[in-house]
Amino acid sequence: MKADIHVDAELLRRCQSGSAAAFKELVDQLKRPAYYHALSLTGNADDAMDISQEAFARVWQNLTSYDPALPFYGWYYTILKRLALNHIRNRGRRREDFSSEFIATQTTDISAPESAHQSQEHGMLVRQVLEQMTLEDREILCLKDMQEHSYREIADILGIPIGTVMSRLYAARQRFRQKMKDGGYEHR
Amino acid sequence: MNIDNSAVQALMMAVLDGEADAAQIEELNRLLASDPSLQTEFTEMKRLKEITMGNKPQDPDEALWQSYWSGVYKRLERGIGWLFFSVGAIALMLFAGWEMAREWLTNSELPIWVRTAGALLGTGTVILFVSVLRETLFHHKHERYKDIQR
Repeated sequence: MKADIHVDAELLRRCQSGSAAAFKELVDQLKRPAYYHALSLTGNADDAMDISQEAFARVWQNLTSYDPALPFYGWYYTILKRLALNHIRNRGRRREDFSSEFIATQTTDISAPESAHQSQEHGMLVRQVLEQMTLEDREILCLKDMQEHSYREIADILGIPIGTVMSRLYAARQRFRQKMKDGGYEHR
Repeated sequence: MNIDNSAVQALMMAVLDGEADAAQIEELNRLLASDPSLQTEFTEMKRLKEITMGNKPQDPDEALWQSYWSGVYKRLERGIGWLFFSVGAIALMLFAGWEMAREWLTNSELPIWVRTAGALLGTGTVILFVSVLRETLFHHKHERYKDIQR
């Protein structure tokens, strides 16, 4: 799941000079993290695909206003998040419409072996709890635990200091932990 | 346990996420050994992180990745199409409006009240257009999430 969001400065320079081939290369490089980040915001696979593509189109239209001194993906993510929030607001479903596509019930990455039934239950509960969480909590939990970005990358994506990343993560994990318990999760 | 100490919280996060150095790990282990409730909290968070990491989004069909660029390209193409269409339509409407206004205002055969009504209609249209345009631009400028605080 871990995706590289670092964009080569030369590639960006070529994009800014109007090279469509360079822009296609940029899109190909970033399409997966873009999609998954949109998915963590919207919770819907079709919406995530549409919004991430629309954000790339906006990037192309506004490339001249991009400041190369800032991390490119953070700039892209700002556009992506704005589109996602507008989309959610327009449909009045900030905490709705999370499809089952959001979470797959896979157990391969879990260190302790579990029964398929239990892991399926946990998967369902994780999905339900993420649905209930605020967009900000869900966003940072997904960036760290699902997309496996480093603190530095999350700081660049969200445009916040690393210390804030850690404090936001702690607070989100506390709420996640409480909601999991409320949902019937028992720590063993 | 709910700990208030932000330094301990940050230490827990760094160790949990594999971003701590050896000294920090040792420091946390010392804290955990001296505080059972902190140990419980850390163990639960670690387990929940494992569960979350094991439940990742499904990967879309490969065909969707293959057609991803065409989706972006389609949007760019339509954006350019709409831009040209809008510029052309506005130019033609302005020309038509100008021609109509000139015809009406200079045609002495039309009653004065018709010419006056035409002038009012034209002026009103311009005022409404400018007002809507200004509101749109203002709204865009102050749109809540346009420039998310970085």
